[in-house]
Amino acid sequence: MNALIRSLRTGADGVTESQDAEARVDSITIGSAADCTIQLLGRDIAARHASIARTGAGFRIRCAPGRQVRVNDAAVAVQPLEIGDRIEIGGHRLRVIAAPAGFDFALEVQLSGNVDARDFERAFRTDLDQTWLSRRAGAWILGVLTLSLALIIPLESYFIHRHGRATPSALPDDSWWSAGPLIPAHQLVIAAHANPARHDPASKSCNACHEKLFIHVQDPACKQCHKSVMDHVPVADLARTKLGAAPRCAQCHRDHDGGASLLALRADDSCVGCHADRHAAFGPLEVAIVSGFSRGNAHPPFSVTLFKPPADESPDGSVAADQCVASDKDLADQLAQWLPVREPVKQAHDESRLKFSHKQHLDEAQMHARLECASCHTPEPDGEHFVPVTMGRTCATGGCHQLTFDARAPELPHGKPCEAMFVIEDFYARLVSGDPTLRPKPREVALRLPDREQTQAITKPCESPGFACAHQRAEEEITRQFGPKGSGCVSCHMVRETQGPDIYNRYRVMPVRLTYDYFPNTHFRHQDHLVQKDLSGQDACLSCHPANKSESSADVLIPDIDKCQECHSDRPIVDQVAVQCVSCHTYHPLPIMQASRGADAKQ
Amino acid sequence: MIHEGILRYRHARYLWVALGLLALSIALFATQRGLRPAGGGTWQGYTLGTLGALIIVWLSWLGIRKRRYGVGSHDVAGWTSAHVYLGLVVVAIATLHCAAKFGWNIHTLAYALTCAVVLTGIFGIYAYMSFPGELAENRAGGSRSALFAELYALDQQGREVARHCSASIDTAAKSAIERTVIGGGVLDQLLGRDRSTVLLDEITDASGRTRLAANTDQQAVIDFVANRVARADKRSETVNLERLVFILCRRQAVLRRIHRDIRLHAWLKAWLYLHVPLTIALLAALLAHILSTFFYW
Repeated sequence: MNALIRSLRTGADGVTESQDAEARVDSITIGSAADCTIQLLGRDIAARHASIARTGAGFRIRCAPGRQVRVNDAAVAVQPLEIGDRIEIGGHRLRVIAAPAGFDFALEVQLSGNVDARDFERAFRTDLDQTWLSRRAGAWILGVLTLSLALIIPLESYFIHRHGRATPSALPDDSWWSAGPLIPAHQLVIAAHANPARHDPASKSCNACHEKLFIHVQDPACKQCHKSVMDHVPVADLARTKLGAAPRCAQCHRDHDGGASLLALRADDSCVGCHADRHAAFGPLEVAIVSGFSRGNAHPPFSVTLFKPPADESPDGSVAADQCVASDKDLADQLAQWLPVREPVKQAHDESRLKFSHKQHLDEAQMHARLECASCHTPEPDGEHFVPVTMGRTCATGGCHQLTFDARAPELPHGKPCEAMFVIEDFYARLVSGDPTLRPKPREVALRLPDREQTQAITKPCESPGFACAHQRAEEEITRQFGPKGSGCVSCHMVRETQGPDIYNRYRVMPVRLTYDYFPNTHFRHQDHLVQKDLSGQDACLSCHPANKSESSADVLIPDIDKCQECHSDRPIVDQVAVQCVSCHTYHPLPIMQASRGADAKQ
Repeated sequence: MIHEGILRYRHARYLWVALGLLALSIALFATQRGLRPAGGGTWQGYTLGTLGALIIVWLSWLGIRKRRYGVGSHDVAGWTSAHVYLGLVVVAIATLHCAAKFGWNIHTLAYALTCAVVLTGIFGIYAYMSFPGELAENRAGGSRSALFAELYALDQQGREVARHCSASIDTAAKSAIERTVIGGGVLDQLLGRDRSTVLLDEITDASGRTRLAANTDQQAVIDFVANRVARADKRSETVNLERLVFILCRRQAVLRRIHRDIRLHAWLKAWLYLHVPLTIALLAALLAHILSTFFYW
C-alpha cells in the first residue's frame, strides 16, 4: 500500500512542525527496530511491536504475540482502524487521518518526549541472548537428541529384538552400543538373529550373544554354534578338583575389535594363574607346576607321546593265523590297538619295529651320495608336521631300495609277505621250466641295498629234479629274505620265526608304526625354525635332531626343553625370542585334528 | 577481574593437580600388560573411565557453581582455574581410557563430545584472556550504556540541527539517524556487520523515487552532507551544515566503538552457546556409554 506518514515534532523553540514521508510497503511495521516503517523507542516497545495492514476495504492493526496497543484508550491486540482513531504505544501517539489523494492510508505520528538513552539502547539487539541463540534450548535439544539416539531408542530395539521382530533400519539400534566391529563370522550371526527370514547384513541383533541386560555373555550362547569345542578339563575331572566352575568362554574370548586380538587372550597370566599357584586345588589330578618357560621358571621337561603295541599282542605280532589271508583292514585294525604312551624325552624309546640308522643314511661315504633330511622328510602344508615316511613314498623313491632278489625276477610286493613268497616260488618255477621271457633287467641306480646281485650264487647245488629243485631254491630265497640271518626284508623289518612247517607262515613280519606327531596336543612349526640364528637348512635340522649320530630307530630324536630355552624365553630379553604358553599349547583339546593325524600315522 | 588470574591462581595449584592426575593415569595405563590388550575393558580401563566420568560430572557442576555469585570472587577464580586445568586433562584421561580405539558407536560419540566441549572451552579461555582487555580499551573507561547515552544525545542534536537545514539534508540526516542499525542477529553481532541505511535524494530508483542507500559506517550521509557545505549559499546554512557534519562524524566515532563493543562481547559469549549444550549432550552420551557398557558387558 502507499501510506503517508506525517511526523509531528516540536522543536526546542516550541514550534510544532510536520514532515510527510511516503511509504510504499505491504504493511506498516511499528516497533523499536531500526528497519521498522515507524521506529518507536521505549521500555515496553518490542522490536516488532505491531503492524497495520489492509483487510478488505479497511485497515487493521495487529500486535505481535503478547503485545498490546491502546486504540481510543482501550487496550487491544487486534483492531480495525477508522479515520480519527487514536493509537498509543508506550507513550507515543499515532492518529489515523484521512488519506490525501494518491495515498491509501495516512497516519500522524507524535513521538513521546519521555524517551531516554536507556530506552534507546534497548531498541537494539546488542547481546547474543537477544537473538535466537539460547544455551538452555540448545542444551535441551542436544541433550534429548543424544539421550534418545544413544540410549532410549537402542534400548527399545533390545526389547523389539527379544520379541523376534526386526527394527527399522533407519533408526539406531543396540548395535550403536557396540564397542567395535565383530569378526565377519560373528557379524553373520547377529544379522541372522536380527532377521531370521532374510539374512540382511544391515540388520543386527546383539541378543544373539548378549541375551539379557546386565548379564555377561553365557557359554550356551557360544555353544549354539561352537558345539565341538572340548572342555579344557573334562567336567567329571573338574568335579574332583577344588578349582570351581570352569571360566566362561567370554573370559578369554573377546570380540568387538574386528579380530585384532585374534579373539583369544593370549597372555601367559591366564594359564599360569592356575598352573603356577593353585597346585593344591587340582586334587587328585596330576598337573605339573608351570610358572613360565624361561630358565629358572618351573616347567616340566618334555614328554613325547609314542604309540606302543598292546601288552596282549600275539607273540609274533601277527595279524591273522594265516598271514596269506590277512587284509589291509586287518593290519589297520591291529595298528589301531597300539596305545599312546607318554614318556620323558630323555628316557623315551621308540618301538616302531623298523630297523633304521639315520647315521648310516647321512654318511656320504657309505651312501656314495649326499642325502639330506629333506631327501626323505617332506613338510606338510601346515608347516608343523611331515608327510609320513613309507616304503613306496620314501625308501623306494629314485630306485634307492628296490625289492629285487634276482636281476631276472620281478620286484617283490612290499607289505605283503605271503605274496612276496608266491612271487619267489613263481620265479624259480619259471626258471627251471626254461621260461624264455626271463631276461636280466638293467640296473637303474647304483644305490641299492641290499645289493646282492653279485652274491646271488646258489650255495647248495640242487640235485632234485625239476620243480622240486625250484621249490628248494624258493625256500632258500625266502629264508634269505625273512630268516634271522637273511639280508632281504629282514634288513629293515623285525621278523619272528614260528618254526612251523608251513613256509608261508614260518616268518611273520612284525607290523610297523612310525610316530607322526610326538606332541599331539602342542604346536611346533618346523617352518618357523628353518633358520635358527646362524644355522639354516640341514644344520638347523641337526641342531635339534642329532640324526647323524643315531644308529637305531629306537632313538627318539626330539630335543628337550633346555634346547628350546637356548633361544626362547617367556619374556622379551636380549638374544631370545619370546614365546607364550599358547605358542606351543592349546587350551581346548583338538579331537578332530588328533583323529586325522592318527589316520595319517597308520599309513 | 576474574579472568586475570585463573591460570595462575594460587601458583597454578590446579595445574599441578591436573598434571598429577595425568601422571597417575599414564602410570595406570602402562600397567595394562599381560591379561588383556589395553582398552576400556580392563580394570585399569574401568578405573580411568570412572576417573574421567567423575571429573566430567564435577566440572559440569563447577560450571553451575562458579556462576553463583554468592561465593567470593576468589572462590570463583579457584573454581574456574580447576575447571580449566581439569577440563584439559580429561581429554588425556579419556584417550588413555579407550586406548585410542575408536569406532562408529556411542562410546566414540562420548569421546568426540568430550573433545568438542574441551575445544570450545579452550576458545573460551582464549576469549577470557584476550577480549576483556580489548573491550576495556575500546570503551575507554566508560560503559556501553555511556556510549549509547552519548549516541542518543548526538542523535537529538543532529535532528535539531538538521531541522534548520534544507529538506534534502533534513531527510538525509534524520533517515540516517533513524535507520542506524546497531547489533542485530547472530552473524551481525559476531561479524560486526553494519546494515544502516539512509535516504539520499540524489539516489533514486528507475521511477525517480528516492530509495534507501547503504550507510555503512555512516560514511554515505557524512559524504552527502559534507559535499553540500561547499555548495551552500548562505553563511547560516554553511554553519548548520558544518555543525551537522561535526555531529555526524562524532556519531560515526561513537558508533564504531559501539559496534566493536558488541562484536567483542558477542565473541566473549559465543563459545558458551556451544560449550553448555555440548556439555549437556556429553552428560547424556556419558550416561548412555556407562549404562550400555553394563547392559552388554
